[in-house]
Formats: sequence, structure tokens, C-alpha cells
Amino acid sequence: MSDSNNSRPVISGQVASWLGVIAFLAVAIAVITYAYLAFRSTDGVDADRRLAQKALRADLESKAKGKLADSGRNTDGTYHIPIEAAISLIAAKPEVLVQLRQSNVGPGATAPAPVFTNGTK
Amino acid sequence: MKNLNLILAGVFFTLAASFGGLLLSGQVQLGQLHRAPAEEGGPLFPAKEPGLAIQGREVYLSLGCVTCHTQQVRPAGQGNDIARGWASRPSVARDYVLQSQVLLGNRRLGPDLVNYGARVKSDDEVHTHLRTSMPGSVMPAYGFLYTQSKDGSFRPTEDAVALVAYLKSLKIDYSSPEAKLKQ
Amino acid sequence: MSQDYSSRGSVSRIDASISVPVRTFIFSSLLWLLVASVLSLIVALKLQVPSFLGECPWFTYGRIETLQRNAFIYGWASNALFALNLWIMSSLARFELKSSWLPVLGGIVWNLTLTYGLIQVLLGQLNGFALLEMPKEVAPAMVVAFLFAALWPAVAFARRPTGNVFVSQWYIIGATFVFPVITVVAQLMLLWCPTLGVMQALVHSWFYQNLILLWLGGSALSAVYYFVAKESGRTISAYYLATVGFWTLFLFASWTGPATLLGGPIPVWLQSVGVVAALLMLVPTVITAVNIFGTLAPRNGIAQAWNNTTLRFVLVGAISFTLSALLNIVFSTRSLNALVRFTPFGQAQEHLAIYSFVSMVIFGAAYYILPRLTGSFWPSAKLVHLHFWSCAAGSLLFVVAGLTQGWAAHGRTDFAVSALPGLLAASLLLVGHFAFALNALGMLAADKAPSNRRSY
Repeated sequence: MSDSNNSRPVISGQVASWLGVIAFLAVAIAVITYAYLAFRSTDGVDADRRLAQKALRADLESKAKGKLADSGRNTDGTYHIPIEAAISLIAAKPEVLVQLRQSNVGPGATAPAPVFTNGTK
Repeated sequence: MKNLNLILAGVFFTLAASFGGLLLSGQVQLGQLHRAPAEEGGPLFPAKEPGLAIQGREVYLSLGCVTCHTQQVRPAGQGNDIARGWASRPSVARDYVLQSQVLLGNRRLGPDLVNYGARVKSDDEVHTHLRTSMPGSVMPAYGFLYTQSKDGSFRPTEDAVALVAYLKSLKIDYSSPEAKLKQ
Repeated sequence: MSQDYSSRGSVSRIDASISVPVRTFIFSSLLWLLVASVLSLIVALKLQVPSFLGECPWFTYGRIETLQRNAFIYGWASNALFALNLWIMSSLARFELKSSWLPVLGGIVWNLTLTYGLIQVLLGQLNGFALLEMPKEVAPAMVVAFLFAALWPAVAFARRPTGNVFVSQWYIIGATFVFPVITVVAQLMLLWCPTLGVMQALVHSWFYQNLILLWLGGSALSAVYYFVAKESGRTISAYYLATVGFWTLFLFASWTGPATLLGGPIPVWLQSVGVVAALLMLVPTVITAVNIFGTLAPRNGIAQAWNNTTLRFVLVGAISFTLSALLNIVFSTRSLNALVRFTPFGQAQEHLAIYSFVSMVIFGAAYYILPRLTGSFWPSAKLVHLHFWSCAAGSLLFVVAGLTQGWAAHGRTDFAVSALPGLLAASLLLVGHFAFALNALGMLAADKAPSNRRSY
């Protein structure tokens, strides 16, 4: 502690103590600041919920788009094909439309003919 | 306790304890608060401020309005703010989530302003209040916010227009999940 | 304390070594005191005549009061406490400062930065947080200046030749530690990376209470302990409690922030924590009261203190501290707080703490320190009396003004009339401060450089 007993005092001794106090302060401030920044960057419940909703919306949207773009069998036994394919089919063979209407009016005793619907029903 | 570092460490502990207990835990509870709809599926409140109101907040800050005006209404059991008709519900933390600087204020030489936009009728009413000194009020006239044209009429400066837009945007006339409006 | 003051006109080696920085701090604090006093007179006038200086945006009530507050706390009180802390610690720890240019440099940077910040406030660049109104580039510079100006007491403590410790030393070290930490943290959380919504109010209340109670209050308490023991020549009564008083003050004071936001839009549990902390402040308050008044009360000590210039000021300061702490405790309870919150009475309470306590203690200390630093007497005893009585009366009137204005805020009386005591108080304080400054500057000028100090 006491190094000033010599005839010639060590000047840097006081400055060194001073720097030591500054270092202590710097560490203290760094710890508190780090704690704040660490707590600040964590995402809360609200942000998580927003992310989940966003993902859900994207999922639904891609499913809806998919229904418009590819062909497949619906749950009620009918089929769906892309709308462009349906348009060109009807343009080439307009009787299909009449057939379609008939099958809509009465389901009939016969087995239902394959009916084209557009994807969204 | 004779060693400097021990004393410093002790004082650091006291400060860090209150920092953690008040500010970090407050941050956990309030730091992620967001806007919420008044009822399921409704618009989110507080509403986004118009750009002019954001400019107006700068004017409000710059003139030091916060020295005399608070922007908080206490619940009915704590003071008579609601009985004075300043707002119909207490202000809650969610009301402030969009504000860049929260100006709760600590002193009321004038009325509370958190719901001022819902209390005034028109822009002109606010302009008149700013331009002239009301009888019996300690609020001076802010004449420098207006210029007088040759025919004697007053024209508001850009600052005045923005300030009025800001004051009119101050509203808590919606229900919040924490504080429902009484119908 | 074996310093030899029998022959006035000679200055001890210790005092000579810190003479330049202490003079720098005291000189700047005097200038800021006068500036702040004039500004507070303008503020009081504006409550009487609202249109006074109302033609220019520079002089709105908000800006002038902001200037006054910052000039008073950072200009007057902080500068003076730099000087006090350094002097008291050096004298207790027998410390001879070698590189006195470092604190002087710190003081100069501190004051220049403050001047810059206040000019920016005058021009309209201000934030909405009390005592953090200055633009955000100011605080980092002020913290660096603080490190240069105010850490030397800690150095003195670390390098003291004996292991003795006196309670004043703890308070100085604690206060010195608190200021840079809370300033950096509050700046970060409010202006650089702002927190969301009302968290800002919470952070600000934490900063504000720490600043007032620990940096200003802690430093001033160290001076109270020092001068009461030194000037009365008695040992502090129930000294063993002083440690408890110190640690409980630092432990509880920094939790009292939310108690200043009662009824506000912050979670109720935080408010309750604040109220509990505010009630617990009773422990350090009672302990300091037992220490101080227990020392002075027996054997006609109060009368002796009254006849001693330094102790008279310090005694008024200590009474104000106890009173303001008790008022804070009482008005932290919810029902009573609801009555006085937002009214000028709250301001009167604060005035009791930062003026009647902190400033009066600084005055008392200055009456002790300056003669020893300059080796000369106070030029005029009459001015000392004028100073004491106008400041004591002014302090009392400020509390009265808080009561009358608070009454008016509840709509009972006319506001301008109720603000008259405040105007009178501001005028009295201005007179007192001019008397003090005249005396002190006369003393500093009579002995400009530390040239007539004892050669060694």
C-alpha cells in the first residue's frame, strides 16, 4: 500500500491506483450493460406467437395455391384439375358442360361420371 | 471493511441488486409488450401515430412541455384523475409502447394530457389555447408559434401545426386488455 | 488529525497538494451557483407573470427550469462535492496528490461539457427525462470527466498509510462509485438503446433516486459525519451503527425508484417494492439521526454547534436530511402519496433534500475548507451572517411555497398568489448566494495562486 516512504515518491503509483479504480468501474458497468443487452435481445411470447401465425398463414396460402395448380382426387370422390386445363378442355369439347350440368341437377342412379370441378370448389 | 475493493464490491452488489430486481425484471415483464386489439379481431391499439404527430412530439419535447404536463392517469383509487374527467380509464403500460420517448411527467402545473386529443373539439380550439393566455391559467401564450398576417389573422407555423397534430393524437379512448373502457 | 492550524497563513502539505484542483472545483461551482440562482428567480417570476420572457422559444418555462435544475445539480452541487470529497478524503487518509493536473483537466472538461449541454438545451435540444435532458453526446464526456475529476478520493483511500477507516470514507467511496455506473446505464437504457414504453420511466426513476440519494446525499452525509466529529471534538455516538446506516442506505435507496411513480402505468408489484424500500429507508434515517444528533445533543452541544459557522450550516443540513427522509417515507404510503403526487409539494420535498440538506452542508464545509486552503480569513463576517440567514429563511420559505402551491393545485386558492412565497424564497437565496460567492471569490482572489504556501 505505502510506497511513498522513499525520498523520491513514485509518481506512477497514484496513477496506477487510479487506473485500478477505473478498471473496477469499467468491469461493473460492463457487467450491468451486458445483463441489459442480454435480456433485451430475448424474444418474448408475443413475438413467438406472431412468428407462428406468420408461418401458419404462409402454409395455408401455399396449400390454396397448390389446389389451383395441380390435379388430384377430392374427398367427395370428384377430381380437380388446373383451371387452365379445364378451360382448354371445355373449349375443345363444349358437350362436357352440358353433361356436367345434368349430373349436378340429379345425382342419378347410375354411378357418377367423373366430374371436373375447378380447384377451389 | 477496510479494503477499497471490498467496499466497491459491496456497493456494486447493492446497485446490481436493484438493477436486477427492478429493471431487468421490469424488462422481462414490459420489454416485449405490443399493441393489442380492443376486442377479438379488431384493430390494434394504441393506433400508430400520424407522421405529423411524431414531428409534433419533437416540438413538445423541445419546448419543455413535460415540465408542467403529465401524460398519465392514475386509477380511481389513487388520486382523483378520473373524477376530474381527464380520461375515463387509467393509463396502462400498453398505451405507451409506440412512443419513442415516454413523457409520463412528474408535475402538474397544467392538466394531464394523456387523453387531451379526445377532450378537445377542434384544431382551432388547441391553436387558440396555444396562442393566447387563458384567464386564470399559469400557461403563457406561445405567440412565437404563430405569425400575424397583414389582415390581422394569425397563421400557425409548421411547429404549431405539428404540435397540435401531436396533442390531438393523444388519446386513450379505447379499451385495452388491462383496462376496459366503462360503457 | 495532527495538522497544525495554530498559525493561520500557512497551508499544510496535504492541502497544498490538492489546492489547485479544489480551487478549480470551488470556483466553477460558485459560478454555477450564481447562474442557477438567477435562473430559479426567473422560474419563480414566470409563475407570477406567465408572459415574462415569453416572446422567445429560448425562455419557455420548461427550458429555463431544465437549465436551472442541471446547472444546480451538475454545476453547483457536483463540482462542490468533487472538492469536498477530495479534501475530506485527503485529510482523513493523509494523501498528497502528485498529479493534480488530472483532476483539474477533469474539472475543466466537466464544466465545458456542461456548458455545451446547457446551450443545446437553451436552443431546444432536450430530452424528457429530468437530469438527463442534455443531448445524448454530453453524458459520455461527462462520465469521462468524472473519472478524471472525482476518483482521486478512492485513490487516496487505497493508498492511505494506516489501516484506519472513518465512516465518511465509506460514503465518499460509495457515492463516487454510484455516479458513473448509474449515468452510463441510464443513458444506455434511455437514449442510446432505448427500452420500450414505460420501462423508460422505471429506468429514469432508478437513475434519479440513486443520483439524489446516493451521489448527492451520500457525499453530503460524509461531510456531515466528518465535520460533526471534527468541529465538536466528540466521537460519533453509537458509532458501531454507522456501518449499518451506510449499507442500509445504499441497499434501500436504490430500490426506491418506483415509489416515485405510484399510481403510474407500471406494474403494481414494482410500485409495492418501491414503497417497501422507501419505508425501509427509516433504518438509515434513524441511524444517521442517532449518530449526528446523539453526538451533538448532550452537554449543550447544539448551542456550541450554533456558534460555530461550519457546524451551524451542517446542523441545518443534517436536520433537513432527517426531515426530508421522514417526509419521503410518510408520503410514500399510497393514500398520502395520492394527495401530494404531481403537486408542487413534491418539489418542495426534493428541495429540502438537494438544497436545505446538500447545499447547506456544502456551505458549511466551504467555511471550513477555504481558510485552510488559502491560508487567509473570510473577508467579511457580516456576509457570512447574511448568507446563513437568507439561505435558512429561503429554504424554509420554499417548503411553505410547496404547501401553498400544493393547496392551490387542489384548486383551493389562486395560483399566482400561492406562488409568492416561492418568489420570495428564490430572491432570498439569490441574495444569500451572492453574499457567499462574494466572500469566497474574495478569498480565492486574495491568494490567486498557491504561492504563499509553506515551502517544503
